[in-house]
Order: sequence, then structure tokens, then C-alpha cells
Amino acid sequence: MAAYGCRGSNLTAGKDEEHRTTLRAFFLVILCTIFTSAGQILYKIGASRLSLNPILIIRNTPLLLGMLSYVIGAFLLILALREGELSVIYPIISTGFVWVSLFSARLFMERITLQRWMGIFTIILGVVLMGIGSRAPVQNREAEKSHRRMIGK
Amino acid sequence: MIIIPILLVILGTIIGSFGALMLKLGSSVRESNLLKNWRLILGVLLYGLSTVPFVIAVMQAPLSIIYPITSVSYIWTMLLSSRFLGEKMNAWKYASMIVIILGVILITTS
Repeated sequence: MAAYGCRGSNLTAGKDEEHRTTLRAFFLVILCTIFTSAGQILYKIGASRLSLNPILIIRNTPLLLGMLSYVIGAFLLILALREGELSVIYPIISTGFVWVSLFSARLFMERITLQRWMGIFTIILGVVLMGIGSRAPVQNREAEKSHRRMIGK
Repeated sequence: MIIIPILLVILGTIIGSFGALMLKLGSSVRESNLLKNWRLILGVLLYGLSTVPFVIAVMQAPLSIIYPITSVSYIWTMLLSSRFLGEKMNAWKYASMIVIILGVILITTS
């Protein structure tokens, strides 16, 4: 972990170390998907009143809020990646499909079909499995903990 | 020819996965000036670039074909994570990836 997190850390920094994903990283990435899904919904609302007139685009509140949601989502993703493994964080972004399905059902009265419900629960199951996988037995966990304490992380 | 949009989507997912890799590499760099963090900038650019083949593909094939294929990005990201970040894989992670891909296919084809 020595070079990791420092300026100019190299590509394979910590290759033999255990990269752990904090619980906070899970929350951050799920929060990220809520924002990007809200962004998609806002885009859809904004697109229905889209025009090429620049003044109307500036006044298109849903469109602007959608962009803001996306920017916030991007920041949250970067924060999540900071303390999480890419192989763990990235697949969890699929939770966005769950939010979009739920938001659309609520706002646009789209019916959630049985197949879609199955998809929603399958993705949730996948995220749970990832949670278990990210905490699968790790050697030298105590050693890493003490190392983290030493570098103040 | 349905094969061309499919190849375009796959190309998009490869670019996007490299974008995710750069975001991960950039996220751990302690650089207060975001504009100086080239990895982060490259990550965002690659993410943006990945939408180009995707948009072209959407014009040529229905979303119910395009969307499920985007889930191959989970495979690329896992490969890149273990190759370039040294992240350890295990059976739970592989199972999770397969289950998530299945879930995405179920939602996007419904």
C-alpha cells in the first residue's frame, strides 16, 4: 500500500497487496447510481420540451438538473473508486437499471412486468454476492489493518 | 446486417472499460487540481468517447438488442482490474458478475 494513494502511484502499485473495498465505497456507488438514474429521468422529462433555442435550453430546468445529477454521480463514483476495488464497484453500477425501472414506474406509470421484477431481484442478488465476494477470506488482514493505521487511512 | 451494430457496441464497452480503469487509477492520485490529474481526465474522455459507437449502434438496431450487449463491459472491467490493478478474483465475484449480467439482460429485454 506504500505507493498506493500517493501522488504518481504506478500502474501495478500494490500488486501483491490485498485491495479492500470499504462499506462506505458500497454506499457511495449506490448513491452514485441513484443520482445518475435521476439524471436519466430528468433528461427524459427535459427532452420532451427540448428546443434549439439557447435561451430555452438554459430555462429547461429538468435538463439542467439532469446534468447536475450526472456531475454529482461522477464525483460519487470517483470517491467510491478511491476506497474500493474496480472489479467490485463497477458491476454495482448496474443498480442504476433497478432505480430507473422503479422511478419510471412511479413517474411515467410504466408497468413493471414480471420479467423486469425478476431482473431487478437478480441484480440485487448480484450486488449481494459481490458484497460477500469483496469480503471473502483474505490473508494478512490484521497486517493490513495495522499498516493502514500506520499510514493513517 | 445486425453484426455491425453489435460490434460497435462491443467496441464501445471496451473503450468504456478502459475509461473506468483510468478513473480508478486517477481516483487514488492525491492531486488537488483536478485539471492536472490526467488519468481522471482521460477516464472521463474515454467514457464520453465510448458513447459514440453506442449512439451509432442504437440508430441501426433496437435497444432491446443493444442494451443487453453492453453488459459485456463487466467482463472487460474484471479482466482489466485483475491485469492492471492486481485485484484478486474469487468464485463469489465471478458468480456476482454472471448474475448481474443475467439481471441486466432480463431488465433490458423486458
